[in-house]
Amino acid sequence: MKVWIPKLQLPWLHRSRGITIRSEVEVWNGKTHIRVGHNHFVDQGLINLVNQLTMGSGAIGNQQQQVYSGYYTLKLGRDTTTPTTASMTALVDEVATEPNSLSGAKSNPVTGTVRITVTATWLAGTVSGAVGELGLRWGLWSSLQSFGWQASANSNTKWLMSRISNADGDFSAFTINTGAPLTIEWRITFSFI
Amino acid sequence: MESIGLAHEVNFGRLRIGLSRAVRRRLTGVGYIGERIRVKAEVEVWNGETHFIVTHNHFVQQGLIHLVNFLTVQRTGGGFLYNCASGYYTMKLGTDTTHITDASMTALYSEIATEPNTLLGLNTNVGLGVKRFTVTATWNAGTVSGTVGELGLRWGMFTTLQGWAWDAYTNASTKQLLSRLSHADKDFMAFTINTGAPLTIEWRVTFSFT
Repeated sequence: MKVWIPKLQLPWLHRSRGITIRSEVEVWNGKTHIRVGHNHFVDQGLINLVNQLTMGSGAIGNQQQQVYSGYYTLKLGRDTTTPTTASMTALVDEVATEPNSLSGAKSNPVTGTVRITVTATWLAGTVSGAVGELGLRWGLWSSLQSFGWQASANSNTKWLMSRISNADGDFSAFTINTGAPLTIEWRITFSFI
Repeated sequence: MESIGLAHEVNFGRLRIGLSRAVRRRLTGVGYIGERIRVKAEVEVWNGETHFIVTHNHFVQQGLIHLVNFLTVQRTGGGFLYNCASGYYTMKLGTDTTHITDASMTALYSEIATEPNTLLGLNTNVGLGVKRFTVTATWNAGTVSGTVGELGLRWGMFTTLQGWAWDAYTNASTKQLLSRLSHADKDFMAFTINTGAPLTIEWRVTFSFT
């Protein structure tokens, strides 16, 4: 039996030991401007990642998923007391009103960093009240599939992938200024660690 | 402009939240589930009396791109093949012992052509916040020989960053380098294959909350 003794590990030899996926969320509404340097992914978001990386084939015909039109969105919620749990599948007290505009973009700022950005805007007066939670919803495959599975159906629509909330201490609940648009930018960054 | 969320401002409300967050993270982790997702890998090698485990690997840039591409696909279809369809993924051995992994690397430095005799994959739901896929490759005794200084996981990937909401209406590229570990990176010590025994490698990629 060979005995292997690890050598001195120098930090600059450790590039890309793993991948980390993090998010930043930025909110603008009149004089209110919030920036949160993280979010809370939920378990079904994690499952979807593994499913996507181990999909063997698409079935015959078009199968809609992930960011197909109507399959993803940002949501507002009123709850201010419930912290995020991994098993959460929706905001606790979701506001039904969808954003008036929704767009997505991808970028590759430097080697080792790739970013997804989703931007949602509610026009002035279209939504009101207090906001205590925010959610990113995606066209997810929320049940763990087998290795090499075939995507022979459309994915679920607008399932909770990630959340930030007042209860988690991510931001302070705020009341929407109905005289100004409400814009949220959710940036998900994939990078080497 | 009233800024209520920036970490650097002097705001006692935010300071309270910040301290509370730090204390909670230290003591319980409550409320911080899923703050980040970490993708890490473990690689285990068996060959006769040789047995070692490396608790990390080095993902390359095209693997990162592929992950983002598949999270932003809008349609798949037509029976197109991706990721781990048969013949689209594999594990590779290499003989190089001097070149460290670079993020822009797209192949092992000195790859051995011989494919594994068997190749298996498995998805596992380890628990809430931990999911894993495992790839196991075996070269039968005597089918491959020489020195091994690098190991690579190859995948059926889309290696060019696609547009937002793209359609995966073509097959992925086959067996593109997703991750590597090597003697040069000091991940393991190069070893000579014992041709009297099978060589088995298990590559476990774990997605977890941190």
